[in-house]
Amino acid sequence: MQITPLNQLRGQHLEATLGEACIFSNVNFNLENGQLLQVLGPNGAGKTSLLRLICGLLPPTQGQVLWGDAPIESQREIYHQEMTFIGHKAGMRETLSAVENLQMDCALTGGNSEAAIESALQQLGLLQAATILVRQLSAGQRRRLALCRLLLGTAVLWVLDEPFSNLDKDASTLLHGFIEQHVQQGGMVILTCHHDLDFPHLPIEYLRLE
Amino acid sequence: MWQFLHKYGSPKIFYFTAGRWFRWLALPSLCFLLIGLVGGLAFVPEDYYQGEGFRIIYIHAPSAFLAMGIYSMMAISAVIFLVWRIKVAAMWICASAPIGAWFSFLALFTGAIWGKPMWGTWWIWDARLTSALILFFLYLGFIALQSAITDRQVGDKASAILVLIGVVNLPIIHYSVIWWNTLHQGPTISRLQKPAMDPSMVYPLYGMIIGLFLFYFCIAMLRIRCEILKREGRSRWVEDLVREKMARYRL
Amino acid sequence: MALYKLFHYELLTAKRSLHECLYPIMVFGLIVTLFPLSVSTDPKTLSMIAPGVVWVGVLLACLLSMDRLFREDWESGFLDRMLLSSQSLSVLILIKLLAHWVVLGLPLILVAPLLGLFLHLTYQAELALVVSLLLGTPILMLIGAMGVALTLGLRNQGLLLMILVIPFFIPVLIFGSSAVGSANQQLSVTGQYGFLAGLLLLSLCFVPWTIAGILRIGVAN
Repeated sequence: MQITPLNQLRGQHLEATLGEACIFSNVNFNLENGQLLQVLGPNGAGKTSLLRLICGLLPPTQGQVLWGDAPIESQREIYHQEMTFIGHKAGMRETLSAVENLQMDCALTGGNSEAAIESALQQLGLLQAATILVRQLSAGQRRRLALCRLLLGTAVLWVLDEPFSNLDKDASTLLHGFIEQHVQQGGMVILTCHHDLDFPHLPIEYLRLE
Repeated sequence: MWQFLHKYGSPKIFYFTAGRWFRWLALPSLCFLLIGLVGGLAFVPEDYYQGEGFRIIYIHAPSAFLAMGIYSMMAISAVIFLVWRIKVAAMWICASAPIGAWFSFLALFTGAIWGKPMWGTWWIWDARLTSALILFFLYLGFIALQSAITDRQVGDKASAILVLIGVVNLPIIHYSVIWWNTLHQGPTISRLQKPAMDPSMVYPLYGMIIGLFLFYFCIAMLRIRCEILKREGRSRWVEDLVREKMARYRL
Repeated sequence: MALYKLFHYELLTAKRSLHECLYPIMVFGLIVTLFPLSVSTDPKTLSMIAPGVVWVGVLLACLLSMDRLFREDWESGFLDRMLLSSQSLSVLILIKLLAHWVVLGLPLILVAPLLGLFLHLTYQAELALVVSLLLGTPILMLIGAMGVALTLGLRNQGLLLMILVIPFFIPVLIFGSSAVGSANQQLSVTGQYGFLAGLLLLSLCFVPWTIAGILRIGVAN
């Protein structure tokens, strides 16, 4: 399966401030189909802020993020359909079960069947825990549940904030596999990560924040 | 229009413009206030019904007028800020709010003092007094929100939106209060029928209103200069300015 | 279909923590109980102050219930997903508010006539109370939701919300309590209903859209 719509994500002269302090300024990047971008930088360099800015959750102080030729604010509904963001927080309702959360996610993004949900849960080894309330899941299981959303969506662009945290070795290998497959099919991935990524077959682009 | 906004919208340029405006406006403001006060307190003949007590109107009415006027100035700035993203407009809102709150407090306070000889009580739930009280609470709420948000980026936008929500709601609140008041107006409170004011009584009032408006602009200019310095504290031109001033006063 | 599903899951979320949804109703009952104890137990006096007492009680209960509107979703990160959904944000907010009203507003409306009975309201007044609450509580919740969005994640959110929002509740309070009061004296109340209905339409048109705007400026970060 190849991802057909060719597209491009560009950040131009991005600047973000938190309160008074400028976190980063004049950040530029360019991401095309089939590319993987790793955002590097010490703690407090603004990696999370940059990812939130790319998603459109945080309005930039300066500059703009372009999806195709137009800024993302002018085409929110299209952009959000073609992008999946997984942040620090899993974004799951505590009082709903894993399956119910994923069904709710489908309602939010539109599309997807019961079968897709089941297969996603199976791939991440959550079938046993599918009907347990999220409140009772462990941190690693929550993380796995959040990753299920990658398999459900049809997004071209994945924006992942510290996706490997809290994952055990198996899940980490799985996620490496997902990312590799996605990029090889022509998807785009932006992620932050503390350790070195293990992708022997993929060229990795780097964006350093001081 | 666009160029004008952008030129004066830059904090650095506005800092110096505000200083000039302050110098130009301070004297006229003082003159108008003097004309209004001296005229109102000394020269105008006393009122037939209310005696000398009516003179408090020269403080009360202009304050109430200013309280409303400042809120509308804030609303205009909020639109300018949200549509054209002119930062100075957001600072203008910040600078105006406490002044507006003080004027609405002054209107309430003088209203109560005036009410004592007129109605025989410090406070009655008259439509205008109630509206003024609600306006005062709106100002306080606005200041509370502004001081609670630590992120200035978010704080500016949130405050501007709140001002606009307030401006849409003010007429609704005002007319519902008037309607409520006519419904509950007790027969014991008989308000004196006010005859049209003599022109000689009105001129000092105009003087006070113009004078206070200019006074508001002066104070707002001073406050906005402080605000700009606080926000732009890290930028080059502020550093240069500080160095220059320090050299001048040999610090 | 997708929207109905979302509504369903909103209700399900509320159902799983049903006890929390009962708190505002208990507060409402307690507030109303305080008045006979503090003012007077004379039926005539009680019947006179009843419209105001019940309406103020509802108003405070609504405000207290608003606190949980976006709070949990904000903490869990679900709010981010709402913001990044391909559905229109204002529609999502409207669905959320509708569920909130069904879970927290409707029970208040059911309990209110009972408390009115304790305060010796006449039957016409009870009817007017229910109708005015049906029209008025959605307005309270819509306006309250704007306040919640503005104060999201701030310290002392609950108190700040009250300070910001209560002045905007005044028209609803005036017309709502006056409807009940007029019905209590066997006067016509169509004017008040008309005004409340107008306010409801106005806020339905503008508020979801305003809340979406507030959430987009980055309060959720």
